[in-house]
Amino acid sequence: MENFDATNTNYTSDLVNNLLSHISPAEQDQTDHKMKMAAKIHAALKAKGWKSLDLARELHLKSPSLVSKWLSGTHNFTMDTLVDIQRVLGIRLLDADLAIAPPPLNVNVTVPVVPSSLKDVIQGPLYKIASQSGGLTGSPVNA
Amino acid sequence: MVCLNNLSGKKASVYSIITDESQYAFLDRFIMEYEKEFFQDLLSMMGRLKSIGNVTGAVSTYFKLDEGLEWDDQVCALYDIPDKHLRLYCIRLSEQIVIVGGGGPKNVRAWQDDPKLAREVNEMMHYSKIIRTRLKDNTLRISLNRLKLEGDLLLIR
Repeated sequence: MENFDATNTNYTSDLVNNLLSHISPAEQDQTDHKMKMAAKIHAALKAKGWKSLDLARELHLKSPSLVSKWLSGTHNFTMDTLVDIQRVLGIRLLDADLAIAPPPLNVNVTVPVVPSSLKDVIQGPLYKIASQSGGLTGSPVNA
Repeated sequence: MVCLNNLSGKKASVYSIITDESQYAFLDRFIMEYEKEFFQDLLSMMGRLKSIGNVTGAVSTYFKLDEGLEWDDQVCALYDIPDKHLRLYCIRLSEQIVIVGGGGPKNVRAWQDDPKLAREVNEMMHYSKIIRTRLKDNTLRISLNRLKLEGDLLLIR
């Protein structure tokens, strides 16, 4: 039994905690995704100015109450249904496109260290590159 | 009214009500009454309430709206699992604030036909009226971030 303090409006229910402990992270993830899917479809309907009835009509559903079930956050959608809904609403609910990320580009750059004996010979940009690599000391010779 | 810490989050706050008659919040009483017969349904409800608090907010389509008798009383029911019909009545103040009450199995066409459900809905309608009056006269306020109720959370029956 919770100790209830009337001055404190924050409340942690042991009974709720006990129920939540029976929901695995994977199961909560499934619930979260169903709820997000419902929210996304609902947002798309609103954006189009459609009601559930309009979506039912576009998809030739026998009963508009099926759309209400979809939007309730409890529904386990089939692939076919999601494909149909996203097509009709012009949104993306599935992302099955094969996008292979290119491998990271490894570039080995070797910066030559110019011996000081050659500094009089190398001028301008070449000298600058060499001096940035730490191979040279002193000021460049003007061309 | 109390804020249920284990369900509330960055997207919504889930409240319930504790009365003088019982030290348990309405949601606790609901759980105690139905956890033996409707355990899986309760798990589904808690999972969804947690999603509401932390992931999505209280999107209107998660609820059967207009369950109360007044057009603006905001009394609704969290959608039950198909074929199970365990109703949990709520007051959905906004997408960020839900107050969870009690409920029961709905084996009738309308809640008015079931004394237990009628009691639960009438209870929520009563508290909804108090809350809306308090919001109008500013003794109860919604926080700037829209996530909390502030002010006089003591609802006298």
